[in-house]
Amino acid sequence: MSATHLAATKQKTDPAAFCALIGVAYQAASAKSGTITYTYCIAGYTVRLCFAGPALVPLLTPALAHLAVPPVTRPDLTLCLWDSASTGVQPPFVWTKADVALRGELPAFSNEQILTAVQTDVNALSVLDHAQQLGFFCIDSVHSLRAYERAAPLKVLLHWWLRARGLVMIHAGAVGLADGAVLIVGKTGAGKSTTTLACLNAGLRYLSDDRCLLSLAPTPQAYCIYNSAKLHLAQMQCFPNLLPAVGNLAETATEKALIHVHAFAPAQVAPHLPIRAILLAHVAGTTATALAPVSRMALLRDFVASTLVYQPGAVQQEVELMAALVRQVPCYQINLGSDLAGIPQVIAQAIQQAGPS
Amino acid sequence: MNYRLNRPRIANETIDNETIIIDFDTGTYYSLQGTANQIWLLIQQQWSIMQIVSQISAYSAGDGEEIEAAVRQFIGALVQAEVIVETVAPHVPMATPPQTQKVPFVPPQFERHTDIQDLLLLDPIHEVAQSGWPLRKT
Repeated sequence: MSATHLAATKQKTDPAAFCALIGVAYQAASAKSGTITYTYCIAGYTVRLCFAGPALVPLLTPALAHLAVPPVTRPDLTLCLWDSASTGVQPPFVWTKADVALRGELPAFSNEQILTAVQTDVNALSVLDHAQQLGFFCIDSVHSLRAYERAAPLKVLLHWWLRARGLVMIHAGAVGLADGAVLIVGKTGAGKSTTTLACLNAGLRYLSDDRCLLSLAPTPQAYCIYNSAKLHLAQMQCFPNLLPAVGNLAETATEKALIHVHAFAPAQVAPHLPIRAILLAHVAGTTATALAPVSRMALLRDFVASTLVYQPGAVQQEVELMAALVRQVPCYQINLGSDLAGIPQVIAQAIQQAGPS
Repeated sequence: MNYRLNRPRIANETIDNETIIIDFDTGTYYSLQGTANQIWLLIQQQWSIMQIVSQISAYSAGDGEEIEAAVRQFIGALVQAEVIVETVAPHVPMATPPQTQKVPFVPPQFERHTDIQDLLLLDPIHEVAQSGWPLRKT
């Protein structure tokens, strides 16, 4: 057991001390491997990513590339990132199975100021210190970064920090016209990604295939936080013009095919758009696509459940914000047909009919 | 006896006379309609069981004992699910809607959904490896 481990164990009930130890580990990684910084503007906030070494850079930055801005002196948030394999620096391991809550939260290392969680599927640790506007992300190896994590990098830290600013990271596709968008909600497999890629192919503006930011004030807005999209390769073959953009063909036997829209169609990526309507996706088994009435509660139930299922530290405030949106804008079920070319037309009509909220 | 919502573990929202309740600790969620939704709104205002029984009886055509038993059973189920917990704080009186014509009493029920919980439990926390990171399932 290392001295760092011992020290952290003693500080187990003090999240601030644990956070400080994480900071020390990051500094060690940075000292060994150098620091590379990138700056992004996310929904009006500047976020600086500080990478200890180059290993994570090509994996985490493409999904955020559309938000890149020149460096700033004082970013609103700084996130320090490293991987143990390339830097040789491990985080202080002090948690046990009993410490980890259902969605990876580490309550013993968290309080009102500091939030901590592990993602056991990718062996990642996220720590956010609200008071210092500082976060840490450590992963065991770049090989642990699954395609869905590369599609939505740092989602735990960004979700926590943005939530405190009235922005909620929601599980929804989002596509639009020049002056408005629809959210496409539904559980995994409901057809969100296929629908958004069909709309991308038809020239609609792109904000998300399954994860975007939502704010309500002054009017409902969807923000494109990740320009990525992912789909099983077999389904991606419905869009042959997108296949050359797949960046992970070698791993598509076990992972979804991942594309970054900003890399090949930057003009179609919309930074943000007003939300005109919400569509609950449903694969109908018909040829044509059509809108149908839907119970707002049925839509909210799927929207909330699928958003919060993997969201560590979800709170009532997020549910209230999603419910407020459902009350404010028209809601429909979109019965998705097998004729993919017909989907964008129905969505464009839904946006035009809804008009400004 | 009064009750309060088990915050922050529980989140809830009501739309169109239907309530969704989410248990963040277990991934279970519940939906309440009809009488169950009316009782839920009164629990949120920390009404006592007897006050809730009285209020529901005022709106419902049915046997008083049956209504009381059903309300107690429903609240007991919410307590057992740890959705609500006992509190000593008295309720804050709020305006109640004017009494309308009584409708036949329908016993309150809540639907329990575990599909999200099932998804979460697909990836349980694994044992910790020598390196400190959890061991993945193979």
